[in-house]
Amino acid sequence: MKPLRVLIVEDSEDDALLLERELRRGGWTPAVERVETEPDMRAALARGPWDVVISDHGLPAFSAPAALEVLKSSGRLDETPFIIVSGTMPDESAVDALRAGAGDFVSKQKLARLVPAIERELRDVELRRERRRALHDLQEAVRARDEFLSIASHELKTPLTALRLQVQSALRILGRGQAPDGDAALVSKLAVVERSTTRLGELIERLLDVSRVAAGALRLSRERVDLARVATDAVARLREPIEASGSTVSLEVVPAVGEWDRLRVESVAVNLVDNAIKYGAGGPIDVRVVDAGEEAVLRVRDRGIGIPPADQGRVFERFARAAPGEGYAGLGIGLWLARRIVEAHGGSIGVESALGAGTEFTVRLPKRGGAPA
Amino acid sequence: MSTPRPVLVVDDDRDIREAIADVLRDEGYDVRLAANGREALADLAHGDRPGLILLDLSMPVMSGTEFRRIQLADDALAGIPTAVISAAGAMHDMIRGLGIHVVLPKPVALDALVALARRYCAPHAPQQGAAP
Repeated sequence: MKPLRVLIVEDSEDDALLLERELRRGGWTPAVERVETEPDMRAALARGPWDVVISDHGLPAFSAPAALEVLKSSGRLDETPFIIVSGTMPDESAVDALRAGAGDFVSKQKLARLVPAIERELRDVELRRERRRALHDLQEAVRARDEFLSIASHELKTPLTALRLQVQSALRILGRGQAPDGDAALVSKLAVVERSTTRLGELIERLLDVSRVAAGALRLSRERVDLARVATDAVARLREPIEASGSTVSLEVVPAVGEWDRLRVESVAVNLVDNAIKYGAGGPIDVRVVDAGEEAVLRVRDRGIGIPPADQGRVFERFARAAPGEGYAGLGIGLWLARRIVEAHGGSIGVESALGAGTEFTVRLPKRGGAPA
Repeated sequence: MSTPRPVLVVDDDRDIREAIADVLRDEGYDVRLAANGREALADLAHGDRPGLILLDLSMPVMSGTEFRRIQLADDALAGIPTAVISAAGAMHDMIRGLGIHVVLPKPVALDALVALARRYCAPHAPQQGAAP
């Protein structure tokens, strides 16, 4: 038994009952309200929603074309088919009504057509709904892709900048034939070039991961990994930026071994420590790893400016910005990807922060084969 | 007779700071570095007035935009020629709104960098040997 909410515009109670009976024959359980005037129809629509409106053509104080206008002006015509059932409607009026948006016209002498007509109209409503949803999803996907491409190109320009400058400078030096200590200068430039290309490679991997995650195609390759080792390596890797920032890192770790994707878990640790350096304002940074039985826990804490409460929820969003209207500050992909990687392992990542008191990120990783959350 | 003045480079990316410093020093200019707006302000408070500021906009702690507003409000700093090093594409309206007329889009071209430095910072004699 399918429920159907039917608004009937009809002055004859008997005719309305006939309609109701026909609807039951069609397999519906109709919830019916009958109205005869425009104010009553408006009130009924306001009480809505309705699945279908069935209207007689001519009533003492109302008419099908007028009722159609009322439905249209309520904005519901798209979702609520309007069907005219009448004994005495001239053909031109029927055509006009259909052109004005009525779904169908059924003669009272051939009421058997009513049920198929309603079924067809309801199917159309559903199709339109699906099409709207598909269009919206498509637009959303295109928008996200465009945003990703713009972020990616922005991110890639950074290592490219250092690279290009060093290469151009090396060419200049060689071009001027200027090279007493030349080799040393050129070697140090090429070392920077090398570092930049490594960074570029890593960045491209990260961007690929972002697009894999978006496509639901992130596949982990698990192996035995010690989170303490990962944390220590991350800190070692970032030694120079740490020194340059004036921060000191306090590293307190105990072995905590699990089955994880080594490279991706490393990228999470590096991202968290890197953020701590960037936002830590030169203060102390704590990196801790503890073994919590079923899971391993990594905590990275800085004593920087902190994250305003209003922004804390957004920190893991895909393209979160450092401040509204500012250019993208390179944070967005890192934390979003970190969360996706951690969740793909069945774990969780959270943030606690207070303005002026710093920020702490906590990563929990189930040691064995956790399913994605 | 022009007095040589340093270039102040403000960018949160360490490799970019060092690459710009390296290449400008090779060309004979003094370079000072800052990783964000706050460090740049501290540098300006303590050092010689630079001839040119190269400013990245998107930086943590204090962005380029915020720095620029503070710079413009300070008579001692407002007149220092400032150019934006930018990775973002269409921010020209915003940059013009900051009173800045020169943008070096990333990846930055060495020639443009050197031309700006030459215009505002008058170099020392070109160095023989490795950069400092």
